Amino acid sequence: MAERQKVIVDPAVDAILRDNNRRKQRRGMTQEQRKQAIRHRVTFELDPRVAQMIEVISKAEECSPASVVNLLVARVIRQYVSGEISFEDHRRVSRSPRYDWVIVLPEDVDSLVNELEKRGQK
Amino acid sequence: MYTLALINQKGGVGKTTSAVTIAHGLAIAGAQVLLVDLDAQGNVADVLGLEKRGDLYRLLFERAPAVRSSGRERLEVVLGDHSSMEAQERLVGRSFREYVLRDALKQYDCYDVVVLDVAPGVDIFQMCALVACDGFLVPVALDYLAAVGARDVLTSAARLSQLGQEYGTFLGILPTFWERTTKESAEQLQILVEQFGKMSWPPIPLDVKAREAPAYGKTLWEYAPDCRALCGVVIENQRRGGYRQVLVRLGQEIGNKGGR
Repeated sequence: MAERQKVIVDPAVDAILRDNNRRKQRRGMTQEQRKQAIRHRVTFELDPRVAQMIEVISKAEECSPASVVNLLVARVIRQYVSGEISFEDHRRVSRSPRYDWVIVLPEDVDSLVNELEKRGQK
Repeated sequence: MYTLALINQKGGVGKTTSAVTIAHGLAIAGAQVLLVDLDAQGNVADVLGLEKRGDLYRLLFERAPAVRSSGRERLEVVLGDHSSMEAQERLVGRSFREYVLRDALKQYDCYDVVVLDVAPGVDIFQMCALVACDGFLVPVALDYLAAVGARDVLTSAARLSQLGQEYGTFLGILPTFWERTTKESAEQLQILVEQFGKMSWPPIPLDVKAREAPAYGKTLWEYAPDCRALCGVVIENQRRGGYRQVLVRLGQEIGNKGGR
């Protein structure tokens, strides 16, 4: 049987229709499928300054905070694996029975927040 | 000179907001623009923060100066008020009445673009606008009744064609009040795309800023230049829809087809 001819549409409208279809598929998911889809969702406590920086970057790059975290963490993990980043200078003894160490942020984190915000305002 | 008309027989679909936003957007982009209010409600004046005037009546019957400044650079206006109704009454029974607007606008060929904001309903001004324009856009709110109104405009254009009268090119459907999250909006957009294909223009997102701006007598470009109605929404890492994209596509249409 001949394939149905595709309607030619404006590229922006085409992207919107694809988005509509994705939303429609999500709406049609069962409870189990939804649970599976969010299984990779995790909750970590972030330092408020780090959270603030993620918000600023996500606004500047016009993408979600989750995608900022995904990209930056993946890049930094690469540096960690290759030995460019070490935890040694950031370790402090933890009082927690669960963990041996508390990791503290570098001292320049405050100035980094300011720098990012200034860039965002430009 | 290129004459663009915004027409839909259904009211409340965003004709005036679209006409004013497109006209001011083109003026900001550097074009000399004349915005003509063919609606007796005179809402163009409200949106621009001006007083309603009977400029349209003067333009059609008195041949007196009818154009005034909008207070914005490169954007001038012919405003309407209740006298536009009288103008319609005077046109009834007159022969060649469909050509009255086209003939009156001939003297304004110093403008790059003339934008016609047409009143809802089937009246003589709608026919005048179809005959006077080079191209017409049909704003359609993403609900069933507005889509029916769009088909009626095309029927009116077809009637002109049967009478052997020249009329503007159908540029496309401009979907308005688009809500990304509602099923109704998505379904109506899908139907429009199936019916009109590439003639369905990028939709204008529903935006509370578009409702607020007229209360301050400001256009969207002045009131909220970064709002969704102008810039669209981010889908697949790019902004989609909104009047900025409409202006880009309009620029291509004007460039391709040119004025009369």
